[in-house]
Amino acid sequence: MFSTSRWAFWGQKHMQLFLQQIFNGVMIGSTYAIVALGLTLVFGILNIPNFAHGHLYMLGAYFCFFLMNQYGFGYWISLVFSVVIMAMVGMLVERLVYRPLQDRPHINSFISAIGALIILENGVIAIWGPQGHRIPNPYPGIVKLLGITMSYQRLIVIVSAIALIILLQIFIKKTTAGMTIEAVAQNREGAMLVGINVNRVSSITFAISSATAAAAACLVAPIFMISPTMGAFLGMKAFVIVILGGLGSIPGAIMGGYILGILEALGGGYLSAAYKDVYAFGALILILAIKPTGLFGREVN
Amino acid sequence: MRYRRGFTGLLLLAIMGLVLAVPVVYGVAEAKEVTIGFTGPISGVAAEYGQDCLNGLEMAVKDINAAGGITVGGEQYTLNLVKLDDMIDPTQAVNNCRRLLDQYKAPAVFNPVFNTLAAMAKINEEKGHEFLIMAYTSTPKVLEIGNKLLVEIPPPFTIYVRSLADLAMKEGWKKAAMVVTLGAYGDEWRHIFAEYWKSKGGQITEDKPANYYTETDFSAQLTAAIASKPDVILIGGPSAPTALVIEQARNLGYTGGFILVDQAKQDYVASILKGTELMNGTFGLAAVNQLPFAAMPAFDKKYTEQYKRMLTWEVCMNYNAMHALARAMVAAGTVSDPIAIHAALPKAFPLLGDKFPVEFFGITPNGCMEVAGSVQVIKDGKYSPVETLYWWFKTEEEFNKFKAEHPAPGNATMKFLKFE
Repeated sequence: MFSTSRWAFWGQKHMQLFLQQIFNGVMIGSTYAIVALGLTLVFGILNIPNFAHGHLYMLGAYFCFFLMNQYGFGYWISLVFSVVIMAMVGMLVERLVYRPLQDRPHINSFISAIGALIILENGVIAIWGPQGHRIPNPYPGIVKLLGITMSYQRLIVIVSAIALIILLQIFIKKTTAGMTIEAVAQNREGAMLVGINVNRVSSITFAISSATAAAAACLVAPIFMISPTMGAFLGMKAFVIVILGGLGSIPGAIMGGYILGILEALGGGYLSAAYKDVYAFGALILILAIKPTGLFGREVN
Repeated sequence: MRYRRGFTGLLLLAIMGLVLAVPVVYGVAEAKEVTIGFTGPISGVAAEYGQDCLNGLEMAVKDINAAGGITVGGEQYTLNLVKLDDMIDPTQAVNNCRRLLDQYKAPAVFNPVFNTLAAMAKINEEKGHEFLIMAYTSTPKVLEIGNKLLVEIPPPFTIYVRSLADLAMKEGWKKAAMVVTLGAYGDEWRHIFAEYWKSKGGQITEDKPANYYTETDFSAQLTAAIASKPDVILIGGPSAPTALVIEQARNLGYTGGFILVDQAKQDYVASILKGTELMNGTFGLAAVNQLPFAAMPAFDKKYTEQYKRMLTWEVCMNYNAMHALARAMVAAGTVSDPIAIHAALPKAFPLLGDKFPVEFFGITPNGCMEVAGSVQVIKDGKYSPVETLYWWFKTEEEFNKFKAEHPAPGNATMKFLKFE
């Protein structure tokens, strides 16, 4: 009798710990999913990896910080403005960095993308300095649920991320503009033949991709810290996710994001964080070994 | 078209000629110059830390030059600080050192990261290419390298391990968890701390290091650490992510104490957290602008006005170290012989609190500057008085003699710690 209750206690305690780690993983996975989603959209349209994607994410957080700090705007207003500004910045990047090199070998786009990310990172350092900045947390405070401790802002991140993913799905599947994106991703020549303006689609895709990255950045900014290098690491992880989920695949990016987040949390919590990046790349190698096109990737003929 | 291309070429040549000519013209008019090198993280993940170190050096150079420079062997010299970025990459740091040596004839190079210092220490004693390494790292291992031309600026962190652990134990705390930064520095801290903590009858309940340079979410490690029900958690790496660790731990419902490794500075952490509210029961390095030296308030004001940044330990320590180096060059009578400059270093001290933000009393035989460590505790939102730690004396008597000559400044307390 005594021993069963003791086991029950042991089990409950460990279950709580496990759920807490899952919560941690889902939170960080939400941001991974949104950022990877933008990256995979662009890849689907232009067939180029946008190396500057992580840096656009970083810039989004800085705009939010700037608006709150400089003009005293509220958190949500700053977030919306930042998303709108970044949509325009995304279009600008597409116009200046990628479109002129459209018909050139891919390596040219790679190089200009790296140029863009260097300019973005150093531009931010020049304006805001190399040090990290903080966006004050609009919702401090925590709730306890089923033994899991959650802060309000983390809950907001999770809920907003899901909302954003659903909205994006509706946009792509139900609206004309969204459908053109999918059409171009599926067959570029075919889309041109039926009269879709491919350049405009590229522009829209970049706008959406940068805007969603900005939204993710603004959502997690109050929990973390913003710094000029924050995008470089996330950008790299987003690439892992996109390859893991299958290049150009939207469900793949979403699933991949959550998988990576949970893997990192469980690995960091139960094993050692010293190998945190090993989990990501280990999962990548494992999945590619079993399914070379990634989780949801299509066979390329 | 042909003509235009030729014309552009000529124009370019002319501009290049002008650029090359300018330094020659100026060189004649100006006083002699000696270049001091700096290689460190000016961009990348540790940029903020590198910039703080650099600011201290730069301010010292400005002050020395404003006072007329230094007189060495009857000749007047001004100091010139040349800074190169290495982004904490050891290969780049070594290349930078070679450049500083070949191109600028720098007799000394400052660097603030152990990983890069270890690589630099392999080349600075090459015959005919010697240079002095001014190392801003508290890792005791740097002295084990046995490099004859390396100076360690801050006190070895072993003294912080012992004093902070002792202070925490006084609270009746026995169970400690660790979520410390990864890397050579953090690994050594964890190792030395765990050993000392256990030797005093304490227990390490969980050890989950994290990468403070690349991660911002520490909740996985903290969840595991907090689940082991510790009285206190040893945390720290660069100050900014350390602040995040504290906030995230509190958001996971943790109410116990924190011990901060010496890289994380309590005052800076508090500025990021907008106050000490979350930092109840925090043990760490003293807030630098609370150091009780006469010159501190003016220095603090001057620095924050000039650089629009909060004053940090990095600034003060590097500021003093540059002054010590300048004085050593004067005492050695040479600006080009690193061996002679190193030998003359003991003559550069003391640098006392009437003119300097921190006090340097001398240099130990194995090349560590004699600087007292300073610790503070935050309780109920308030900083305790500063406790200063004196570690370079062999015996208690030596310390007592010193104490009679240099009574504790302000409301600080003085403590002797024997350093092995």
